[in-house]
Amino acid sequence: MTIPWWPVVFVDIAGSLAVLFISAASILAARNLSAEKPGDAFRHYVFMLTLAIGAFAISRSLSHLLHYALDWVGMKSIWKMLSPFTGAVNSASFIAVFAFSIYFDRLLRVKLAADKTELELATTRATAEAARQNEMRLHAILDGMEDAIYVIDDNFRLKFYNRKMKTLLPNVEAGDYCFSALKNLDSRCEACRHADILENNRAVSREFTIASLSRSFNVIEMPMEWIDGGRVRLNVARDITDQKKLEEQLRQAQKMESIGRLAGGVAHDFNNVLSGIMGYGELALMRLPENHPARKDIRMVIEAGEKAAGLTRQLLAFSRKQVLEMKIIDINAAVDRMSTMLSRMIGEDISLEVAIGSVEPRIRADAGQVEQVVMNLAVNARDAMPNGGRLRIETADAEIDALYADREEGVQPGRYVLLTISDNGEGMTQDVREKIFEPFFTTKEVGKGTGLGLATVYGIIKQHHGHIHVYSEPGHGTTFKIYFPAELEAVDETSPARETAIARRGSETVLVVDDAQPIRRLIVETLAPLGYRVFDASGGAEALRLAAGLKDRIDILVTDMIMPGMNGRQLSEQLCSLHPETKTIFMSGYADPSIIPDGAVENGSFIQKPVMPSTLLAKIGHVLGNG
Amino acid sequence: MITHEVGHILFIIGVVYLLIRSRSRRWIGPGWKEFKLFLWFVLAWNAVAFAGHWIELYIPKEQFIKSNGETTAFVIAGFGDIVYYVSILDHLVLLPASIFLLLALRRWKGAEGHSA
Repeated sequence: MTIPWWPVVFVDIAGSLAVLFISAASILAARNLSAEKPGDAFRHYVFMLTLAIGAFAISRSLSHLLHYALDWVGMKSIWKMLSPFTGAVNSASFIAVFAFSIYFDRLLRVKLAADKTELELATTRATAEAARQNEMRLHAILDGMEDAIYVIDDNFRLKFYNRKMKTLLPNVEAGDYCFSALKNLDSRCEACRHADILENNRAVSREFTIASLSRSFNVIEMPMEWIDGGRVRLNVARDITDQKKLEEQLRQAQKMESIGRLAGGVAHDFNNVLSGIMGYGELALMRLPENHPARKDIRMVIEAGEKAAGLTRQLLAFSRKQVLEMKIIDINAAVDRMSTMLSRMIGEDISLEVAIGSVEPRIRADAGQVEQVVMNLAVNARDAMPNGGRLRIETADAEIDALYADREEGVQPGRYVLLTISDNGEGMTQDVREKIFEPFFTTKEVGKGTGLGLATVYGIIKQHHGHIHVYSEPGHGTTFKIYFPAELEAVDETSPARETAIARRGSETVLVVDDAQPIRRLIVETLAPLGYRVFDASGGAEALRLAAGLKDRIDILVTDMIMPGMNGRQLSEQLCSLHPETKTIFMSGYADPSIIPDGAVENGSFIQKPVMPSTLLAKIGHVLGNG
Repeated sequence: MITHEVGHILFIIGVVYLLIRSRSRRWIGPGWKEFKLFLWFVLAWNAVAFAGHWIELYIPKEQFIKSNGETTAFVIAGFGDIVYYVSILDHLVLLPASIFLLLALRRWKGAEGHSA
C-alpha cells in the first residue's frame, strides 16, 4: 500500500512554524515570570527549563524548515553539511532538559530551605518589629505622662528618665547623679531613703522642692528590678506646685471667712449695745433743756459711741455683711473725683500719679465703698513712705481667662476693670503679705492703726465679687491690683434717698419688733412722746398675735431683720397679708444682704444699727412720704 | 545517531522523573495541571520520535517513492511502516505539548505562589 508523502511535509512545515512561535512565546513568558519575582528560585528554574525546552524546539523547527528550503532550492549538499550541527544542538538541548529535570528535586530542597530561612527571617523581623513597636508604645506612654518618671541605680545615678523630666530639667543626662541633677548638691541628700526603699522593698511617698524651678513635687519612690537584673529605685514625681498654691489660697480664704464670721458676729452684738448707748444718749439730748449741764457729757458719750460704731462698720465691711447701695458707677470718674482729696491726705512729700486707662470703666458697686477702698490703700501707701515717694493709681480693662481662673481660688473668668494702687515705699516681707488682710493685724506702732484698713478693703472687694492681689518686696514698694467685674450697663445717675433728721410729730400706729428689749424700749420712748401709738413685740409670732388683735390699722412696722423663730422679712410678708396698708422699716446690726428684701436699701426703708432716734424719725418721715 | 538517541533517553528520564515528582509532591494550584499535560505530551513525543528514529534504520530506501529527487509517497509493507509514518507526524504531539507549556507559564504569571 502506498500512501502520499505530502501530509508528512505539510504537518512538518506547519508544525515547525507553530512550535517555533509558541516556543519563542514560552521563553518570553518564562522570562517575564522570573522577572516578576527576581528572588524566587522556582520561577528562575522554570525559566531555565523553558529555555532548554524552547531552545530544542526552536532549533528543531528551524532545522526542519531549513531542510525543506534547501531541498526546494536544490542545495541539499548544504543541508548535509549543517545537519550534524542541528542534531548536536537538539541533543545538547535534550541533555539540558534532563539536567534541569533532575535538578528539580535539588531545587525543591534549596527552595524549602530558602523558604524556611525566609520564614525565620520574617519571624525574626516581625518579632523585632513587635518589640520595637512595644518599646515605642511604652515610650509614648511614659513621655505622655504629666509626671516626671526617672530611675536611679545603686550608685545614685540616673539610668532612665522620661520627657517630662527632660522638660523640667533640660540639662539632665543619663548617668548624672540624682542629687546633682535634682538638688544641685555634691553628695547625697540628707533625707535620702534609697537604702531603706531597696533593703525593705517598700514604696515611700514624700514631698520635695526643686529650688532651681521653685516648684514642689510629690514623689513616690519604689524599688524595682532593672533590665540587667540589678535593683533600682523608680521615682514618679508629680508637680503639686499649683495644687499647693490652691490649697494655700483655700486655707487662707477659709481663715478669712471664719475670722469674718467672728467679726460680723461681734459687730452685730456690739451694734445692739451701741444702739442703747447712743440712742438713749440722743433721746436724753432731745428731752433735756438746751442749757442743761449734762448735755455736754451726753454728747461725749454719743461721740464715743460713734467711734465705736465706726469700728463695727469696718468689721462688717471685712465680714462682708455690710448693706451696699449697689449701682453702676464709672470707676474712672470715681478715681478722678478723689484725686484732689487724696493729694491733700497723702501730703506734699508724696507725689500722686493718676493714670486713667480703662476704656470700659463701668462696675456695679457701692460708690462709697469703692472710695473707702481707695482711701484705705492710699493711707496704707502713705504710711509705707515716711520719707516721701510716689503713689500711683491706675485703671485699666482686664480679661481673665479660664486658665488663670483655674489657678486662683474663687476667681471667675471674664472681663474686669482693674484698679491698681502702687507705691515705692518700704514694701513687705512674705510673712507680712500673708497676714495683711487679717483684722487687727498691723505693723504700725500701737495707737497708730486699728489693723482694720486692709481687712475692710478685702471684705469690700469680696462683697463686690472682685478680688485683690498684692505684690510686694521689701525695699521695692507695694502694688495692689483690684479686679472688679466689668458691667456693660449705663452708669446709674440717681442719688440715694437722704433723710433729714426732723423730730416729726405724728399720730400713726407703729409696731416695733426686736428681740433686744433695750432697742424696743428706745424706739417706743422715741416715738411715743411725739404722738405715735406704739406697740412692741419681742418676736414675729408675738407681733402677729398682737396685730390680729388690733382693730385699727398698723401704719408702720419697724422690725429687726434677724430674730429667733421668724426673721423680719417673713414677719413683714405675713403682716402685710393681714394689713396690706402697713409699711415696713427694717433694722439690722448684722445685715446679711441675702435676707434684705429687694429695694429696701434703695427706697430708704432700711436702718443700719446702731439705731439713732434721729435716723429713725427721718426714716419714718421718708416712709410716710412727708419727711 | 547514538548521541541523539541517548539524548532522547535522557530527555525521557528527565520528564518521567518530573512526572513522578509531580505525583509525589501533589502539585496543585494554577498552571500545574497544564504543566503536567505538557510533560505527558512531551513524553509521548519523545517516545514517538525515538521509535521513528530506530524504525527508519530498518526501512528500505525503495519504500520511499520519489519523483525528481523528491519523496512523493511511501509504501506500507508492514506494521513497522505504519508506526514510522505516524512517527514522522510527531508535530501533532509536540505542538500540543508546546501549547500546554505556554498555558502553564501564563497561569503561573500573576499567581502569588507556587506549590511544588
